[in-house]
Amino acid sequence: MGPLILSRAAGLVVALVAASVLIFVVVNVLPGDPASVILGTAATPGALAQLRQQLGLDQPAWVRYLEWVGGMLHGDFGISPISRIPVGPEILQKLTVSAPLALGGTLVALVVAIPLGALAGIRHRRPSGVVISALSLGGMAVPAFWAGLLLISLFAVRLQLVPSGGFVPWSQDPLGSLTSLALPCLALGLVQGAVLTRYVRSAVIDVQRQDFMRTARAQGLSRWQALVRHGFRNAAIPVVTVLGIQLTSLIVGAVVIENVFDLPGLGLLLFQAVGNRDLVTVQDLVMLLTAAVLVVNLVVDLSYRLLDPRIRAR
Amino acid sequence: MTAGFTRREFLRWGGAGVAGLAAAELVAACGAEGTGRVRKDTLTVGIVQEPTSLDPTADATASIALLLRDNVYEGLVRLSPNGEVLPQLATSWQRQDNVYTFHLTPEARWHDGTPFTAQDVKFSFDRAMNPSTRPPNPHADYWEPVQSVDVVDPHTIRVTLKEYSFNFLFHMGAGSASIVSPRTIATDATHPIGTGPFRFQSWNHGASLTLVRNDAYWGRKARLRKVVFRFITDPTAMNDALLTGGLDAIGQVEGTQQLAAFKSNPRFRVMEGQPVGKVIVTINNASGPLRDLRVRRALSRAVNRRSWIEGIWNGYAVPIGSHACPNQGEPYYIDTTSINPYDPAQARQLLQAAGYGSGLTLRLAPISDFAYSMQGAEILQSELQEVGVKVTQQPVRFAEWLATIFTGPQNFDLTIVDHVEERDIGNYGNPAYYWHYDNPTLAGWLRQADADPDQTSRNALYAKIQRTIAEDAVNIFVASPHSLAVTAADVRGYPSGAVSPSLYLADTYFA
Amino acid sequence: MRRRLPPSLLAGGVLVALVVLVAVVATIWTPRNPTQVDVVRRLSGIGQNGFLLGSDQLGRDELSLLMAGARTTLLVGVVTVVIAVAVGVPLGGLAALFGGALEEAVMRVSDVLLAFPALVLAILFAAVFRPGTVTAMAAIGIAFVPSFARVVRGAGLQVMEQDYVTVARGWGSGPLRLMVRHLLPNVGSVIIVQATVAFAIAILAEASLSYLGLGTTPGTPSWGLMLAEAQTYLAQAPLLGVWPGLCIGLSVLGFSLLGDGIRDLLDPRLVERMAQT
Repeated sequence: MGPLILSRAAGLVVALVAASVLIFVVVNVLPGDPASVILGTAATPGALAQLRQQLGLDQPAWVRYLEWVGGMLHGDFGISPISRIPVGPEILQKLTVSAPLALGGTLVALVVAIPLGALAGIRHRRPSGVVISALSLGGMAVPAFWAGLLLISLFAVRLQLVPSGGFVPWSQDPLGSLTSLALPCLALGLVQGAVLTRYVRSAVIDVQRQDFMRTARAQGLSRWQALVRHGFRNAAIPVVTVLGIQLTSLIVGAVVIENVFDLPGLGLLLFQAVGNRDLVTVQDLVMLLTAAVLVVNLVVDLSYRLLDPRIRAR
Repeated sequence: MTAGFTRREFLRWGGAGVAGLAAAELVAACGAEGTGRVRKDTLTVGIVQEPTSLDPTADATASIALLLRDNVYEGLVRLSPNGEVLPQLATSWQRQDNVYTFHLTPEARWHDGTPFTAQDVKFSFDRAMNPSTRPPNPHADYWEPVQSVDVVDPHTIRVTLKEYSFNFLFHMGAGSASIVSPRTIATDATHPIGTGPFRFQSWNHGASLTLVRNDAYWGRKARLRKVVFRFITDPTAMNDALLTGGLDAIGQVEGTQQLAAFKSNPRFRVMEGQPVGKVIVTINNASGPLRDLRVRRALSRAVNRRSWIEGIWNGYAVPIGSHACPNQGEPYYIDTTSINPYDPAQARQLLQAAGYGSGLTLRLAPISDFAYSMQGAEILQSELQEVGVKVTQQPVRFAEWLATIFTGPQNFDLTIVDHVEERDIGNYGNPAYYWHYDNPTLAGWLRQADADPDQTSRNALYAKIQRTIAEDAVNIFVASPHSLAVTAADVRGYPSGAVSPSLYLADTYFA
Repeated sequence: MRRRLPPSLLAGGVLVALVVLVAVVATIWTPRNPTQVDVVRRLSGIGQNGFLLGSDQLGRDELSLLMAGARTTLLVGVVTVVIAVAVGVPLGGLAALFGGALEEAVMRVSDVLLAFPALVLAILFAAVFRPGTVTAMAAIGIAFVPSFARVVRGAGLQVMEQDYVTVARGWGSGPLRLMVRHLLPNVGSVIIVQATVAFAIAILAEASLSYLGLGTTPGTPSWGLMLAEAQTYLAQAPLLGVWPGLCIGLSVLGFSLLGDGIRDLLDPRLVERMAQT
């Protein structure tokens, strides 16, 4: 296991470096630059040149790359040339919206997927099981933003129970913050839940075929009891793995959902930063998202090997 | 009045027997309606466009001035919602020929406690006029008529103009003409320090910006204790936030389709102000076929203003025929909508005559941040298709629009934008301006009009200018949207009408 | 051997055929010109003013827009899958054939690419090359490349272990010959299944991007774009927010079902093989 971890960690470092170079190159060929955005209606060639110098845009690319990476390693994410605000704290601030959104979405997904998936797995030959898996298949085909739109249409526009968008800061009214996150979490979670339901279902079907389950049933436990005592722990392994893999789609979903509900999180920040040519913020955000995905992939991969003895043996 | 209360408030608090501001704040924060009725004193306003920075002298983004001018920053003068010039830091002034003498209030203090003096005005104006200031003032041309700025004494400043300027004083009410402190200018972009009735408290990016009452304000103090601007880009979400009590007012209404619902609801008050801003389809007069007057006239005649006004603003806009709108800020306005009126048949003939009878393809770059621009693009595409002009759309973000269309390569045929600045017809005298209209005669008239102190002859000249611009079909002039505000019914003194660049909230309170 | 056709294949096939049919018809005929604005008759209800499914906020015919949107959707699906197959399959095949450093490089690069959420990649692309259908197709296509490369490599490795390939190798067949004669025919079914699934994801991705204003440019009917515009009018015309979503959902469902069905039909063992890659 030791050498494996080492080689995987080395692979992670290589991947991170490769990703950072890729991001830097892509972002730095963007047309339009922050200097012209700041000057706006008053740009003259002289003014542009001077501001570029002030912002450090006149230095060679490799110097800027090293400064960027070096800064990030020290926790310094630079200052946005547009809003002139440090990006690091800004990202932390946005996390107070995005993290609860992702967490809430996952929670909704689990609450939907585990009982429904288990039911569908146990009764996979009966009508109720078939109906659930058909529903989950349909749910997978629904774009998260459309789910959001339908929820807005029903709960905000028609019933006027919750606002259709926007975010009340936690410091101002925590209950209001929770309310403004309710629909987004639901939209994100239902679609994720549909995907997860299918995995739970097939995991439960697989587990039921295992010998230890037959033994448990033979000892007089009911199907459900056997599943609760022995099955779930085993079925959990693939489900946890899928949850890890779904982090990527959760991030993507959050970017779109934040746009649907006008939530000031990382996704909206990324979207706006691209529009404003805020190169510093774009670079930092994409790098962070990529790093998060790479690290989670590694952790999932390692824990999967650790949990499942059959794989460890290979 | 020396205390932080108005008389009525004082009586109310006194009667309730509450001593001390802390206790009052506590009660207000709980929203309790205890013995007497406790007045609400935090106003939450929904704003569509978040500021990009908090320094109005460095960035032209309209929302910077909207939120901060007159509330946090002040100028020599301010504009009333209807566009009249009112005293601000300059409590009075005299003009003798080309020389303005401004008498400044001796009581004003910056939010950092330092006193405000004439030196600060000189610093701000010299900075705005200096071409090497970084970043430069977005409206440096407002100081074009100025020859020199001199400090007479700590509370008097003299501004000498090259010649009389009709627009100078008006422009001093703009956000970019805010007086800034030389001691804090470096940090104003993130932590603005002004002399106004509100102090900046915090800016939660993407979510909100909070101002608190300046209890040491030199003039009449604000009635609200706190103002929270919440940034909501989606018009539906904005309206819902007001309906569900998350907002007390909507700064600028964009979702006019729901206005009827607010009008019929007694919980809300809809305020219809004057039409403000000029929504135009900008034509790049230097681009190939668009150099031909017949083609530009054909484009103008293909556009049905009524369709735009209904389709985009649900009727809450007035048609315009030239670069002026019928509000008090632009008193020289004349109706020119009958020049190049909607007439698709004529448009086709004009195109035929110009040699484009077999078709013409134009590039249109609407601004994706603005709903009116995107919807206008769909209407324009359909209308031009009727007269045989094919349109290819390439939407751009506002930031990119600024960098590539307004400045930069300016490689476009058509774009759709609302020119919100008041009295900006002078841009037609600048051949380098992004629509590339080069008419030296008209440029001369514009200079002449600005320097003419006589209202009658000045307005006659401005009328001729407007007509010429309309006849030359420089751009397609579409409409001027009504400035609309919706507030909760108990909000009083909310500024309606938006000729002023600011949302001045010092006189606003809850009934 | 005759087997019953999997029900998912039938259902998916019908849905896909329907989408294709509508898209083909839309290239020749729609009830009205889908970009024709008619402000006076905007927001008409179902059947009102001769609009079968009503009209949108600018008075365009909803049904015509939906039909023309199918065309856009199919175009994006086809082009992205072609990009992904054209780049991903040779890469995966070569990795399987040669192994060693090449294989390692392909796998590492695809690891990095897989770490980029496709949408983040597309947002970056839209910023660099201007938003548009072409940009969106390129970004989605590139985002698919690693998964094709991985699947083909995985399947390819198994093919390479087969006796007949070892024999062919022993006889001195060159890599190109090996790839064309032995590898491709054997991984063909894997590619078809993967392509069908990718098609479904591409439809979802295009819709999301267009909804964000980073995909299909206005002026070209697109379901994602229609939903973005409908959002402002949910109170007045809730159905405008339903039709395009329904079209997206049914198309995605159709292609997913078709993918499942083809997989079941071709080779049930594929399921296991693909799960291992």
